[in-house]
Amino acid sequence: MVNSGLSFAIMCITGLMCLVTLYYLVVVVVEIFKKQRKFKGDGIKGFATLILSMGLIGGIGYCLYYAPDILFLGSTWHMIEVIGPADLITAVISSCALLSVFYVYFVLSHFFPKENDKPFFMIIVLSILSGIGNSIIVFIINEALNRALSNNSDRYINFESRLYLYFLLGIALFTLSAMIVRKRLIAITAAVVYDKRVEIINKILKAPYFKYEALEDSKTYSALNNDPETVSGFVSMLVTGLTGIITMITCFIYLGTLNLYGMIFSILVILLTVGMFMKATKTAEKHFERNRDILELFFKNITDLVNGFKELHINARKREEFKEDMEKNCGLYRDTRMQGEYKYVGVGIFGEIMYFLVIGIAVFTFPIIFSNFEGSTLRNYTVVFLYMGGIVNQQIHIIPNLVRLTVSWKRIKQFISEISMIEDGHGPATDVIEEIAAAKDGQEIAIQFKDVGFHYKNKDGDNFGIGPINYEFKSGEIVFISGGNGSGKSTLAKLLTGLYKPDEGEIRINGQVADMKMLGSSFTTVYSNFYLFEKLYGVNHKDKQNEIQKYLKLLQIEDKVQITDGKFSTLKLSTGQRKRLALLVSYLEDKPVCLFDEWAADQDPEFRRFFYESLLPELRNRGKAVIAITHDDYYFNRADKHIKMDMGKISN
Amino acid sequence: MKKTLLMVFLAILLILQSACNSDVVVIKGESNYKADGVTIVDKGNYFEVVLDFSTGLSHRQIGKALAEGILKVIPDYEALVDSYIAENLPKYEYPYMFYRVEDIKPQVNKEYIEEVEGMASVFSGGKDNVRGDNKISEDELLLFNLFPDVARIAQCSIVSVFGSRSETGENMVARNLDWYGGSKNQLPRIQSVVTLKYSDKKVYTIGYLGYMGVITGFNDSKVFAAILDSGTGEVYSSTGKRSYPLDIRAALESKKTLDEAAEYMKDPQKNYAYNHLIAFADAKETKILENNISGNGSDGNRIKRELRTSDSKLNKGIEWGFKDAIGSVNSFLLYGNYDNHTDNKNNTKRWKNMGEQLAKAGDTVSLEELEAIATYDGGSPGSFLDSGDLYNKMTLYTVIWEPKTLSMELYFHPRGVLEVPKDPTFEKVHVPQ
Repeated sequence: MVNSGLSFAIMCITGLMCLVTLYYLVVVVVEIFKKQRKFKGDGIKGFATLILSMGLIGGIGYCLYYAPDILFLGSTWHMIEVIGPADLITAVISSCALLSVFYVYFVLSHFFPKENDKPFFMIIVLSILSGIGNSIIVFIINEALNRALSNNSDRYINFESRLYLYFLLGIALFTLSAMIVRKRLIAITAAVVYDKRVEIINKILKAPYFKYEALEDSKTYSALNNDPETVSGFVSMLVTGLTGIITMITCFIYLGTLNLYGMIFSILVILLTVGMFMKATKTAEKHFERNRDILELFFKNITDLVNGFKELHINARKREEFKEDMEKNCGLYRDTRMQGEYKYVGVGIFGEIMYFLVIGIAVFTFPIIFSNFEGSTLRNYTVVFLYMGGIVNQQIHIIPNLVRLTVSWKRIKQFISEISMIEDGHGPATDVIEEIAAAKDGQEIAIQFKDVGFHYKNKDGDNFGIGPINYEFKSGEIVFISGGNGSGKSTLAKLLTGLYKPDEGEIRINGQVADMKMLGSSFTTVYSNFYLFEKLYGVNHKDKQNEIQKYLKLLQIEDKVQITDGKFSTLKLSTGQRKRLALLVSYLEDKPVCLFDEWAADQDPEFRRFFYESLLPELRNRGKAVIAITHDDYYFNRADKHIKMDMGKISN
Repeated sequence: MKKTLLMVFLAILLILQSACNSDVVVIKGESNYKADGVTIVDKGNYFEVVLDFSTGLSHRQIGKALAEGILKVIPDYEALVDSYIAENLPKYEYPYMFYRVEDIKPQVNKEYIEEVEGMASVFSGGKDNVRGDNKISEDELLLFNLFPDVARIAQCSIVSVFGSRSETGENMVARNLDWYGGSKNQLPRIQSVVTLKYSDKKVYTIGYLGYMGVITGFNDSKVFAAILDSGTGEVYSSTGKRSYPLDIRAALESKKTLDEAAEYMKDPQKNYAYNHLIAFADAKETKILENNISGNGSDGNRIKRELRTSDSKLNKGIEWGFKDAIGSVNSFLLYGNYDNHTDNKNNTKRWKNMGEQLAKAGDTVSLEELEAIATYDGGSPGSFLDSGDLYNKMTLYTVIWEPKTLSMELYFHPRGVLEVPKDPTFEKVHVPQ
């Protein structure tokens, strides 16, 4: 069962792998000395791993040492040396060397783990071992069958010759290697998914607002949620795929040792099947791409459902039409998925038939085509084919999942690339930001607009813009901005806070040209469509417990919400109360400039008065520059300055 | 310091040398033995034995005397043969081999069985078959004699030139025996040239002490025979089968021509457990009997048990192309016979090398050239299966047979060295006339 060609191949492969393993072993040792790896015994679990691995290595060593006796029916190493295959001895020595080196490498990297380590080499070697273990099982089944049939008088031959040890070895090798590989791959894939998510989050957070708001929310949901989850399915695919491929390769080598032409013929048929699958894949990929697009629509529907539930609940007609829309998208999702899957059904079944066809051809024609095809060879071929059948089908059915995975992977990359393209890479010097952020009571700030202009660039051809604007916002001043709908108030506010980048002119802070990040870090804001986070992000809440209690009381929400460890006890408040809470956050952020967009709109008259007559002046008195967008003309006299916006320009 | 280093270096060299040394212990016995009907002479690397049946002694008596002589010249003979059997038959096969022996025994000539029984009566194993007990039982001795029939171990080659291709014009045969000799050189320790002397016939065998069949042999009628294994992967069956080395002995004992001997061996009534080849030669030519018992052919043809000559048509893709020369490795080649050659690299390599060496020797081949062809090893003898060497690590002996003078150029594996020598040393052996 092991001839000279196979022995030579084993010798070359193990020799090469031994050198590569040595390299990785040296790397691990160096890392240990550099203290990049630290010892982690893992208690009883670690001890069990050591014992189990030593047991396996001992088992492999025993089986290799007695290989001639077990595999060559009682032969000795001396017989192998004299009779051959001559390279078998070298192959076994080289395998032992590889095994020893790899075991040391495994033990060291297991007990001296490295943070964020991605041991791909170990996974590949273990996958190969797993595949070899898988193949050993079928080879030994074949050998046992041959022995049982050719030595009909000795029913115990497979036990007495200890052939069962190789069978057990195959099972142990397959099971343990697959187990380790799966665990490692789970960790690696989880890390990859984590890394990708963090990368996407970082990219999103670095993106300027004016670009980000152009992105669909659903795209972000899919990129952060759905796609990484799909990609995480790669683990099982990789393990199944790699183990299956190695098993198939070793099975083909085995078939080649039995009959070379038979092996070539079988490979050709399987390649043909895979080729057809790949062809089908091209069409199916289009459907999966479309399917993925519809998923984004579906996420949009979910957002609408969650945010607009109140409206949907009240209006039956609206609800019906929305339901129809959502059903349509669900249907489209179902149909495109089905269309994609359908593309594989035909070729899948054809692939299976082709495979059975190979077995049929082997059984019916090999004895005719190959005049010296022995009966036992045919039996061995059939057993190996039947064994490989499951693996081939497994491999074939990985392909659709792999295509879905590829689509998700591409989308992640595409999303990251889109975000990267709009990323604002030119941040201000950290010290400047810190200086501005640290501006407390008494420290002056002046924001100057010099010929500032901005134009919307949307696909609908909307060419609304504001500017040129020349103005200065200063500490110790209350500035009101008013104007009709679409007059440019909000756009101006977004330019002020660095959400939008001016197309023309420049904005300076204390005489220094300011970019968007610099501007953003100067402001605390409460927009009309503000968002309240559950936690007090960016606030040193531990040192501000007294202030928190003071403002909760001042804003009369102390009996509605509590802040413990920087976290709100609830956010289920009325819109007015939520705005008061947002104001509290704004207070705590304590930035040099405060911007309130229609803050008082949802407040009762009492609080409205309190806002204009107490809060804003108090902020001004603390040296803050206070900017409020408002329509409350009753309180306009409370402002130090008043900007009226009309058609994108300051009209007063 | 330098002296110390030198001593360490020498010590390492000594250790390495002793580790690489493949010398085996040879227990020396008496150099000669002579009894009624049996003479054994230790010729240094082999034993020259004469079994004289013309004295009127029965085969059993001769067998007994032979065993007594064997023990005199090789005191550890039983241990050697018993360990050889144990080495070749794992314990799970060992008991079942006796079933095979039991199947074949009834078809074996009674005289030969008597010889074995006579010998066994001297050995210490009695009737108990115990694997590896260093004793030879009666069944074990019979098993040893039926080894090629029950436990295939023979792989050989043969090349012969005659007629216009022979320098002398006479037939010259070179034959290699490729057997596993044992981890303790068991077979080289007992190698022998035996003369079976009858009142009207003499048969000469080149084999092993206690082995009564013919692995290589010839008679005084100048008919030569040698066995070569040729497997077809058929399921083994010993039921009703005969022993082909013992039948060859019977053929050499009774037949005077090559064709008669071949006819005897291809008799449809005589069935053998393993398919095999027998090289038959006489003073004029050599032919190969492709004794394919199972009879599976190729290309829709079916050739069973036919003689191949130098100009026979061969299976598709197999070339020979030498007039007045014939060769064989362990494959059937005749057109229509089972093709166990094409896909067997061990066979194709040796066949190729044999052809190339023969071509290199030119149109006429001398004895020395034939010797060189038979001992071709491509530089150094390699392992049997891979190297394609005609003279390889498994070669136990090479016989160059000259029918003209009934003499041999004989190389035997050295008794005391485990490794096969790089250059085989031949000695001229004249058999008793």
